[in-house]
Amino acid sequence: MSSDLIIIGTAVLVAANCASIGAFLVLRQMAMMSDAISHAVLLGIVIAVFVVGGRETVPVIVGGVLSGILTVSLVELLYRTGRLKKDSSIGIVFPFLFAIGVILVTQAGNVHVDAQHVLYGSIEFAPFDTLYVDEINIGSKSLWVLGILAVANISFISILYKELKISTFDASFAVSVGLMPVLIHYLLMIMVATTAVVAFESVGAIMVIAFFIVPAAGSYLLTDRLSRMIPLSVTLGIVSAVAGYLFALSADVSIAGSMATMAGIVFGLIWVFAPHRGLVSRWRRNSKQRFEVDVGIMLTHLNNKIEPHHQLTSSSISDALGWTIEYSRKVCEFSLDEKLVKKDESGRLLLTESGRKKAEHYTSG
Amino acid sequence: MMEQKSGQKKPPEDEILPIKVRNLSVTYRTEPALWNIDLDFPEGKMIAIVGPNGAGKSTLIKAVMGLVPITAGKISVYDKSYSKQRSKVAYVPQRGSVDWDFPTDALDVVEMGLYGKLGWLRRPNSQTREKARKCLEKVGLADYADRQIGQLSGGQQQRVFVARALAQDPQIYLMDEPLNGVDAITEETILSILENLRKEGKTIVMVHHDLQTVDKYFDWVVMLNRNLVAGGPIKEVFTRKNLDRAYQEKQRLSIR
Repeated sequence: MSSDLIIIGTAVLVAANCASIGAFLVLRQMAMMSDAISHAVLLGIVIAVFVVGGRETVPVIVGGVLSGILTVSLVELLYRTGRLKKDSSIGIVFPFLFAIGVILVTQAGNVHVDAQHVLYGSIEFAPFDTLYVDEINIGSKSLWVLGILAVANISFISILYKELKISTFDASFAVSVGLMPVLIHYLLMIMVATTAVVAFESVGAIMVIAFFIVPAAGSYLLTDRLSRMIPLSVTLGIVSAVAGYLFALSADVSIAGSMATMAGIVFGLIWVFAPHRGLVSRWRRNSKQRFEVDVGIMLTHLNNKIEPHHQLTSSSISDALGWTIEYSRKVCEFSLDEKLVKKDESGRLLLTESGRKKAEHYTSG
Repeated sequence: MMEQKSGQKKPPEDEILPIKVRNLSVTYRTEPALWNIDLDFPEGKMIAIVGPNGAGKSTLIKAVMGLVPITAGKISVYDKSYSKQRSKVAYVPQRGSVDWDFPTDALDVVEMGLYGKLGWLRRPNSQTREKARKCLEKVGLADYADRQIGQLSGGQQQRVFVARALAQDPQIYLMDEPLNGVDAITEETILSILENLRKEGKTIVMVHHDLQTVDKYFDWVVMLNRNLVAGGPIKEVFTRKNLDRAYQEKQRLSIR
């Protein structure tokens, strides 16, 4: 397999793993918690490397998951004392654990972990790290590990879909029917920590968070069904990863950095152009509603001025309501089109029956 | 000890009731929320829980389901612990307790009422979907099944919660202010549903804030002020004197 394909495959799998589980992190408002876990796993990884004297996958994952659980528990502990808000508790715990990890990394010496690797990952080297079974080369290690993780994450979500959904939407109801949301919470945190540890090698501590949160947040703006939000989040993650890799190749810059940047750009596009929740459509909806209100104001105005000799034209409306002539004309034309008003022989504006009803509806509130 | 207990049976203790509360105290850290409550909830009644803010009304129904830790005392549901009787109880939380922007539709929320019966790992299916649809019909929201829940009005959201409780098909309904801030249609719909449930012998326990309607809607009332002020049939206990004790000076003035 070519190195390009291995790197892209690694990136796609990282994105898919993070983005699928990330949907629940976004809905549970746990972006900061996943950030904390992604950093704190460093401590467990480094300790595992010290203990076994190398970067064997299983001990590293176990170490990372344990430090992830430690992070979640310590945050809960601080928060439960009632003296600190949740974000402060998170802000205290994870830099502390991460910092200990950083100190230990610099002491690692001959063990192969270094600070740069931790922060930015080393997806560039994915093709050179191959896996052997009975001394037969079975291909890229990162593809194998991430592939197994993807199966685990997809199984986790699909087997516990109902439990995850209800404990995210209404935890106290879940308790009342015996579906133990606390257990679900910790299982989810274990999956987050595992994903963080594995993805960490490829994209580093800083970029993992982008793939946990950004695609899921974008997908949240695009759909209002959880069953669609998860696959959509994975798709957005994959698109960002591939686009980021291609950009990194052409501009010869950091692959992990480009992928996270692309994730941000994709989200930005969604934020602006999403069909219902995007900036543009919200703006359109608002100005449409605003226009409808103005039509109502004009109809009410016409309804009040029914003395026969009063001159009612778009320019008199402009005077009376303080609108520009152009805008008054636009409102009048719209009302003529909608048959809310009509013109008599002298060009005077008159309310039609439906226009009068609408005006009275507004006046009566 | 055991011999002594069986030798001195108090007749009321024998009766199996929907909910029995004995010596219940709940404290949040050192702040008491409920203090030494003894209470029997009778079968087949519409029961209101009233009291001023912070009187422990919600805490009482949460304590029944183990949603808040009990500091002292015992609660039984049909003579057993709640964890053995989950299927007999439905909970309708306050509407504000969930995120209505959650990506799901009305029918799906109602279907969640059947998750408890399904238990772990079993998936909802066409049968649960059909049952949920019927419950949504009962609250008059059949046409809103596919609507994202955030696009429903407050009253409609409350009816979705009631439909979810109906889907659970329980003996006991524990409801936390379901009539708070809802429109007239919703109030009517919910009350007529509850009236039918009561006729079927179900027990309804509702935290209620509107003292004006207590004697109109309910058969029974529990008046709380951290302590139990009174619990019994409306005619016997919903008196000026008890209201004064429950609400004390400040609130009483505003009731007049």
